Amino acid sequence: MNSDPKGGAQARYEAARRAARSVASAFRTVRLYPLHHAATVEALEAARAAVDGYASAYGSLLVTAADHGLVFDAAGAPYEDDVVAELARALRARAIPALRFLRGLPASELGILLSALHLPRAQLERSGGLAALLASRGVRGIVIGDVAAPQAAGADLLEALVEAAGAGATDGIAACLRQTGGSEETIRDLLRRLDRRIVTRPRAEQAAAWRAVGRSLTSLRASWQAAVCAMVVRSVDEPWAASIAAQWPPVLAASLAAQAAPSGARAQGRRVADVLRIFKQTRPSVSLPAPEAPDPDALRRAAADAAWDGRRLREQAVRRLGELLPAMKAGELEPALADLEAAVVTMAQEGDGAGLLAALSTAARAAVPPGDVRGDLLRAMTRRVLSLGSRDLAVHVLAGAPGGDHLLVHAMRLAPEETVRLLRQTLGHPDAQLRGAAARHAAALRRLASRGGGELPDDAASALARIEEGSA
Amino acid sequence: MRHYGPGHPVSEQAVRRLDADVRQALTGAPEVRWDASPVSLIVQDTLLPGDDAHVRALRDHLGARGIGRVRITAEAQTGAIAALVRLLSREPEELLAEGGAVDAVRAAGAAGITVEAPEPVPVAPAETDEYRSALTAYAALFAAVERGERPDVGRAQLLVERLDPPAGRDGALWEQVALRGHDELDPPHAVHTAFLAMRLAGALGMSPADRIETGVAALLHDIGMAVLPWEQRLAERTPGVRDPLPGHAVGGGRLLRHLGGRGSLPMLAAVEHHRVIGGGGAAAAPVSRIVALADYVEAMTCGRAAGLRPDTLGALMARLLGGGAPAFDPVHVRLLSRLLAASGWDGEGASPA
Repeated sequence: MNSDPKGGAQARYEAARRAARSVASAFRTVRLYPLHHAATVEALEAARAAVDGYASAYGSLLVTAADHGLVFDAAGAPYEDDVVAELARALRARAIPALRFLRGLPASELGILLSALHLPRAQLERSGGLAALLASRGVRGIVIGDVAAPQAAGADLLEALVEAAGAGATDGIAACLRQTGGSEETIRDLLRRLDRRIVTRPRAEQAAAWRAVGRSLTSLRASWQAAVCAMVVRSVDEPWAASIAAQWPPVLAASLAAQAAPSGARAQGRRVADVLRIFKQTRPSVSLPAPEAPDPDALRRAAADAAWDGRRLREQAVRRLGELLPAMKAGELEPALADLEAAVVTMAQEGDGAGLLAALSTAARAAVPPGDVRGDLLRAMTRRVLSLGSRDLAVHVLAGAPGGDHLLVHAMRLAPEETVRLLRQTLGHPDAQLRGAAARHAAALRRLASRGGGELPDDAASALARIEEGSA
Repeated sequence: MRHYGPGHPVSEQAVRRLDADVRQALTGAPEVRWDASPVSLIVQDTLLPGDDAHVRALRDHLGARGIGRVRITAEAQTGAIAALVRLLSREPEELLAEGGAVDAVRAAGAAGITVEAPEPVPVAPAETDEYRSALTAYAALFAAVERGERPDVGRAQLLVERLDPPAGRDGALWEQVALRGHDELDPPHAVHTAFLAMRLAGALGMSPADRIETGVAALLHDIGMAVLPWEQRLAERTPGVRDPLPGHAVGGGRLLRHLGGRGSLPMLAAVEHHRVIGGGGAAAAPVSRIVALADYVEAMTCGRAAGLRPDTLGALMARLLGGGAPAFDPVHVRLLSRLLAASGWDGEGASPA
């Protein structure tokens, strides 16, 4: 079986990835700086060198926009990272399925392409499309492709396999599997796809199809069949493999397991051999308990507890959004924060202090690495929550003992001006308790600022000084 | 024996040869065992190649006579082996007239030889149209998300409404939900979870509209799996998840992002269901607690083969009722257990593998 990619294929993939990433990086630079800027010139030259490096070794580079990321040379899984995602989005948004970079491509032509990719789709269409635009500007080293999405290996066999399995034609199934060339990965993928295709069919049809697949393998007429049986046994944790193995008598599955599965192979946390031994055994039946009905008071309490109103659900959703923000890239974070801002506006209108506190916590506590572009978006959002909700926030945000991890400290880091404004307003509040809390927090923040060490930004001390002015 | 009849020298010679081979095999093993199925013949735990004409002939011969297994121990005398061969040489109809091969061998008094029938194949009740259309609609919705589209919550609601028939007319759906032969990654998991969550919501006295909203949240609770690579989906099935916020919960929350009151229910259930299963239910929204219980019960008792199912329904419910982990709301557990018992679920479910 050819299960491991060869070193050469890996090197080729790595070269393609490097080249595509360089182009994507230059695409980003072109968005920020004009073409003649030194940063752009440098990025285009780096991209040209990477593309040429690939093309010299392997021929022209084909880059295809997939649903997620880019596919190189119409093979393998899509590749995506922050940099590449931007280029992939631009290609998808402008309905450009593929770009082919030819050997000897000059940096100037790359610059023309990347500038054009920043044009709105409508403008490109008015120019007769990207291909026409590039041709009119003398670009010869880039071909705009019109290729179909790359197909997984063995995809062309899927229809035949579905048909043969549906008809119970074991010879037809064996023929399809044989045509894969015996590649374990291709057969595994083909069987996974077959599973996806038949999983919504009536159970009896599914069982018949898997029975036919099982039979097509266990005649063991050829060595590749034995190898596929071994692969099925090792993969029994996957639904399709379980369905095939379930068609085999237990003693057959156990016999195959003994020959095929390494002793350490596991399925659902158990050894494959152990799973197969009990594969079709129904466990001792334990009758379903039928407990007494809960007493009416407990049921009333449970029903009341289940009835959260819209405001409480919104607050909960805002809190959960805070857990999702770190996983979002800038492109997704922006609309998410727009949703948050809309919720904050409603919360401020409704005087929903608890909801505003959740929103402030969500924006101010979301941890992103220093220098990350998302930090600016979160800073702006923190300012917005503090500005919009200052009236209702104070009583909630000032609760709890002042300290290094208090929400106010996080807010101070991101939005010192707005945080100080909130404290100053509260120091003038008629409620003495609230005034006291504000004073304690202000003192704690001052201590933190005077300690230095980067816990608060440099402008925090001067902002905090204005509290004194306000109270004086 | 079939060609020459009993008593013919050729038949006698064949029986003697078989007897000698059996004796030889019994010197190294406590019994001689043949396991036959429509796809295989295994002798002494060794699978014989299917392209051998003799193997195929014997396999088909045994199958036609309703024989799944033959065991011969040292107790079997030559006469018993001859009796077995005589019985096997008969036509299937003749054996049937004697009550089948198993009874015929027993009646022949062939000591040391036992014959067993093949394992019965359970027959599952046929799917109703509404159930199949729910599976198909969910599979289409999931596939659309895999292609990069946002989940169509309106379509999910239409689907869920079909899974909420009036009380007393849900028998056919309970019959389907009782079948455990699917994987947690298959469409039935989402559909069954939605059904169980809606039934539980109903038992808690929720209004029909609230029940449907709960059902939509339950249907979409694992939609985040659609954005994960296949290997990660396999790893994030319930028995293997320890993280209160696994990748599919994050993915689901991002896909279903909604910060406006009841419209947030699907997002909350997607993000929080493993937090509840992991023991952090106190901070979760009620809908997440209901969905998590339905999800857990469904996921921990399903599997394409019995050996892959982490638990049986009876044992699982007994454990949860006894306060075993995960700690769901005891009232919810009690209500669900009563619902399951009232549905006629036998605690095991048919298991068409």
